[in-house]
Amino acid sequence: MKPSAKKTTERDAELSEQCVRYLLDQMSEQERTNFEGRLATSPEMGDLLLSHAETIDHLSQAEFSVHPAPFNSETNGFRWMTLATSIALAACIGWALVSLPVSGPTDGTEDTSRIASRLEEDEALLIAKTWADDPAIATDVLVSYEDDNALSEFENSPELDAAPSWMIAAMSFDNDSLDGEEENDG
Amino acid sequence: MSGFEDPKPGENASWQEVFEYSLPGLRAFLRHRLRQPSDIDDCLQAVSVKMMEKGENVAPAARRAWLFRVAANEAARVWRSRATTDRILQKVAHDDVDEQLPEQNLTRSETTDRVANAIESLPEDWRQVVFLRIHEDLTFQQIADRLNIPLGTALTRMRRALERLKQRLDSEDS
Repeated sequence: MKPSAKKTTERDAELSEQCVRYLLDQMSEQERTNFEGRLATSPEMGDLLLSHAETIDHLSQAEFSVHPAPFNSETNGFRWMTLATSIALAACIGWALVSLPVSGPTDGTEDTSRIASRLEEDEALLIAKTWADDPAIATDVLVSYEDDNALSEFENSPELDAAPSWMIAAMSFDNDSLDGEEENDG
Repeated sequence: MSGFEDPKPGENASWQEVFEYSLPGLRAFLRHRLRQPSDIDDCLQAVSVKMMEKGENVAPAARRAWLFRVAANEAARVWRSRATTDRILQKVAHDDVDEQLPEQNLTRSETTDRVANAIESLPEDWRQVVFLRIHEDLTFQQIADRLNIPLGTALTRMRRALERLKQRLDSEDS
């Protein structure tokens, strides 16, 4: 591309961008005043402005959708860290439960299934608490495993009817019914 | 009405506030289309009436664009009206306009469909910016923050999207 042509293209792009910013009200007071001054003296600027105004007007009437915007990485990172901490905590509690002597029946098979059950419940309980504090964290995790459409697919999924154990536990947690579950354990 | 001194309308500004804020720009825009100051005043009055009649369905982010578009249409109408000196011819012209309304509505609907198709052809990251600005009414700074992109990139994507859409619509027209 010749330097003069490149310069013209850059200038066109600059004018075009000014028109877009003006129409979408993204100019400072000073920029706006300058732009309107040029608009009063340049018919070409008026034509360009009208051209963009027509497109924006069409756009505002057209229905369309986009994939969900990505989350801010800083916030997302914090959520991941929170979840990772929860899971690590669950693992520690699980390890502690396995290491501690279990009182009660001495039958080995029964002990093993009881510990496994307890582990699962404790992990579900921790995730449930996290979910109860901020449902977005748990939702983020679910979405992150899938593609961008995962949330809508998840919402429409028949599996939603069979809610995960941690979600059921979270509901119970919200309703202060956890005490009852603990009593059942003991 | 002193638009230059008016503070910038906020997100929840009324139509009247947006109109008054846009008046200096509309006047500057109309200066090349209508020579007589009285014609410009008449045109702005007509835009104001249209705004009250039909403005409520316009997305807030597109209000200013809509005002300029209506102003251009009204300026063209003034020219047509001035060219018709005979009152009877004026009436015929008016009747013609009324009879064409359903057809115009159909054309508008077709245009909306074409725009929707053209939008689908845009790159996803451009479409996101358009969607967030026009339909979510976010500022470009908010869009940049949301998408983790520089402000200039958000502006450029918007401009390119509009240019691409216009090219596509123009090419379909020709």
